[in-house]
Amino acid sequence: MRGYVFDIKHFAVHDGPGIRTTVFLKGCPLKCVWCHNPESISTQTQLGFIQHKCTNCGRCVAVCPTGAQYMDNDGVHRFDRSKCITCGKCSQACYGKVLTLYGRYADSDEIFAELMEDVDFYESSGGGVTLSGGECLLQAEFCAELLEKLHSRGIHTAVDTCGAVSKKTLEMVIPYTDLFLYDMKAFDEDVHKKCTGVSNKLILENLRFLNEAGKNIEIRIPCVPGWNMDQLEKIGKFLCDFDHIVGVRLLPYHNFAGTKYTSLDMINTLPENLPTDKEMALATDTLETFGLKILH
Amino acid sequence: MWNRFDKERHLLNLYDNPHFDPATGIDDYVLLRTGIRETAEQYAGCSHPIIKAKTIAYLLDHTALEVNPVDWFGFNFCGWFTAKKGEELHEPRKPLQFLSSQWYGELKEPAEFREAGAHIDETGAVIFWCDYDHSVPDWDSIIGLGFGGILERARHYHQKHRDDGTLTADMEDYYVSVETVYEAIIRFMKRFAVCAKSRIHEDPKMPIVVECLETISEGAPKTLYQFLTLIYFYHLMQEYLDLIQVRTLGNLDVDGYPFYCKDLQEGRLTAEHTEELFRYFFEKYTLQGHQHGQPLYFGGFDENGDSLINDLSYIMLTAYDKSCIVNPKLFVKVMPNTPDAFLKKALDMIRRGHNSLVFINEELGCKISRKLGRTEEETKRLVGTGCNNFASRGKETTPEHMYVNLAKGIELAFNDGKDPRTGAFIGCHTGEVSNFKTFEDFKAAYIAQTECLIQKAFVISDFYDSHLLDINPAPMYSGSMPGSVECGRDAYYNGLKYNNTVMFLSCHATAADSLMMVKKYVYDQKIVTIEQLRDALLADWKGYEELRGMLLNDPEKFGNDMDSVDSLAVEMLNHFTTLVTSRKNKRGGHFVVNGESIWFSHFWAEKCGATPDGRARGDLLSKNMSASIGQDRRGITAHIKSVTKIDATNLAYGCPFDYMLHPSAVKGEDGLNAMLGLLRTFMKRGGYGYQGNVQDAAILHDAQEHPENYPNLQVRISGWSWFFTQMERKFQDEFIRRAEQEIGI
Repeated sequence: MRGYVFDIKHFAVHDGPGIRTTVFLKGCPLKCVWCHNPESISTQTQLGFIQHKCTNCGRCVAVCPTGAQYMDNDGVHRFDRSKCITCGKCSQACYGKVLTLYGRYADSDEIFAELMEDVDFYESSGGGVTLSGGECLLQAEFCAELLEKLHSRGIHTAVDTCGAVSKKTLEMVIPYTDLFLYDMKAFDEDVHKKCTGVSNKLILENLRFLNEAGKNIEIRIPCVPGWNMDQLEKIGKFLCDFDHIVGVRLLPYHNFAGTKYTSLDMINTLPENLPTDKEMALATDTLETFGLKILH
Repeated sequence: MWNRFDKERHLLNLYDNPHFDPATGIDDYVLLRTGIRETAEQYAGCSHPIIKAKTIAYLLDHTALEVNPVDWFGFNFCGWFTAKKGEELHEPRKPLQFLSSQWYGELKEPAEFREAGAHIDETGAVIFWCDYDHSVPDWDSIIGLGFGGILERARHYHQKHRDDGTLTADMEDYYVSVETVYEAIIRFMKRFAVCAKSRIHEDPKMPIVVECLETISEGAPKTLYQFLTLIYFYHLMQEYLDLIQVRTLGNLDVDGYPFYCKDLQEGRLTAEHTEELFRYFFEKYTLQGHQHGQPLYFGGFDENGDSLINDLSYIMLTAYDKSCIVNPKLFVKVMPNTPDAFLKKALDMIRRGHNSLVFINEELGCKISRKLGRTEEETKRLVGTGCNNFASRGKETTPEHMYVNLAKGIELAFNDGKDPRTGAFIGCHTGEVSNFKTFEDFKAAYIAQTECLIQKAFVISDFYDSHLLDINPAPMYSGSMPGSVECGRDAYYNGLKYNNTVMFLSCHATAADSLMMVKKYVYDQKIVTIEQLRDALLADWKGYEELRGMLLNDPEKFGNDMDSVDSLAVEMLNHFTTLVTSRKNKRGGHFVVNGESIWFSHFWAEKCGATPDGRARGDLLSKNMSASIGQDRRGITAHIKSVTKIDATNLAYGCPFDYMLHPSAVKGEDGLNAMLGLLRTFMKRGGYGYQGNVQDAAILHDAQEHPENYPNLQVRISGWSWFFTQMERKFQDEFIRRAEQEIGI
């Protein structure tokens, strides 16, 4: 079966225990204002173009079949997105990662083979494979197939999910998933909607469902000043009754992804303020008062 | 008494301000300018070992000295300090250098030596010198016998050969030289003891110092402090007088452990004070200023195969960590059962920038040892020495005279053996490139050119190996080596069980990448002709920028776990290491190989023209066993996989892998576990040495602009670390480039 992937990251260290390889699948039901992987949101293939890194060598122009890549009268390389059919020929011709194609279909066997390249590292470190996104469970069948293959080889598996999927979807991957990395962006529904564009009703229900299913869960909370940091107390209170939460990881918001928005011609929604060390320490203290283990 | 190390450590700067009593010795100018030269002349006509030994004895007997009561290792002598001032003296801190310079000058370099050496240095093909920088003294003898015991052993074998009728004239001179030097050392130590005694009331520690000096001048040390003092003295004198670098201070945690336990038991030291003592020792040692560092090593295994990492290992590591120094440098021998806790403690140090430390794979070391024919007993107790390699304990001397640039053969293959920059013909005739109809033709030319350089290196090495005793006999070092003393031959002259010679084969990744690009672009895909590629290289890519862009950015390079190119690296290294290791040297041993590039990837950069991997003249060549800068695009796991495809048993004398990680990738407990996972995987896959940097490019940039804010920022250079802000800018730039690669700039 084929999956729709936009990246595979080797030596991923903070996506579950040990040394991991993380597969990023494309498409997400949420649109978080702070999203640092904007290329993951759309279910369509996209071409990223970073104008300021371009050396105007013209190699992409030579291979572009539609004229989307062209040189203007001053010899400067330009990109007409309306003509682009995302064939990827230009990104293959590009030396400097100025043009990057996001999204490719890949067979689970092909992905599995690449994941198994690092099996020695998983074994030495107690690591494994993490499926992430976007929201990887939008492609639950593919995930289940890949996870099953990994599980059959004794590889530790983790699924990084926003939880905005159906229970049926979760049920498909539960048997082959050792750890869920579960995002909690807000507790109040209106705040969640403001931050991500969708309700969190299903997300909270699914968390309960996974907990009842006895699956190990690591909660991940992005900390974005002015957006969700006032939610931590409520989140802490909600989580303290769950008995399968192995820990909570606080993710300090960063704004490194600005260039990606520009390269994809997307509206940059990234908030300006970064959390201070003091705010992060306070966030840790807040959650620890509910008996939650904070992972570092 | 024993809780004063920390309090007194800050007084160590007094090291540079000794006050010598004229009654203890003669004027330094007379001593070093006139005295030692007149002594040497007095024995003219004698053999070199005798002349050297008599000169050493004269120096030790006549130098003024002092024992500084505020310093636990305050044993200062005039020659050492005067030499440091440097104006009058040719070689600071090496007063006997004039002898070896004179003796080398007296040698007649044969025509074949001169021919082999012509132009190969200036063209960046081979670097060579007569190497006395890689000795492994027998610490078992030094610690077990002390100076007095070593002298008695030499006398014993001297007499035995006399009695057996096997004593030749050369052997007689050998024994006399060893005995002369050790007798002088003992007199020297006793003079220190007398000096210390005269100041015994000036500081409460002085009775301990006096007892120490009296003990170790006669025999073996009895306490941890005496153990360290003996090491300190031996090291200082072998380097200062014998002019031979001590390339390992020994297995300090294991060898020091019985002394530590005894001190604890008898109430002399606590664990806390032991940490302070080691910190004092390390900082005192570092003041001697050896730039590349001398290693000490941790770990090993006992007769049951259990790890020898002990309490003292942890104490020493903590002391070193607190010292923020780079020298001595640390080796950790790693076995599968080396405790995770110890390795994580060391990795955490590296993560915080205290990275003067290499992990070496002892399981692999044992495999290499057996392959080299060492016994099981010898294999169990391998020494960590040099920059990152193993040697047998007290049974070998392995000079490292030659460094061959594996990438240079590419340039020579394109130019029929001629170096295009200088016009010098340094290779062999392999014909015009237009004759290379297939990739196999090109590869054969490359192999022929590289073999030609290796043959030249053999010739040079043979000359050096044949004259090591003539140039710089080693009475002090030889006296420490049981095999040498037993047979009555210098440790540099066939006197040991293993007398191998190292040849470095460096920069394999640049060579493999270049071969791959020639194969792919010229012969497989026919994108460019071999003549066009040659012209582009000769033009240093000027006018061929697009071609360069293609080649430079082609991902099929060593370091990405791609079999196509990795197999070329493996094939080349297998071929050349077989050639080198099958050759005998002139000291009854064999040639062995080290794959390190030291810092020649910098020095050769300007001397080597453009290469088909897209590198321009002046760009760095690949470093150690690692990929060329910027070419390991698939991350550290793929990089490790490529490197460990190479059979490290063929590179028996070292082949370190250098990594660069961004601090954010290894932060927190997860990050530390991941670092451990990388190390364990590297070892499990048969890697040899593992060293690296965890650096943030932004910090390095800032340190470059504001060095005053980063006095302790360390970076791993090759087989040693150094302070970033004290490095030349071009070296700093290399680290910045590698660190930027980690964040995808």
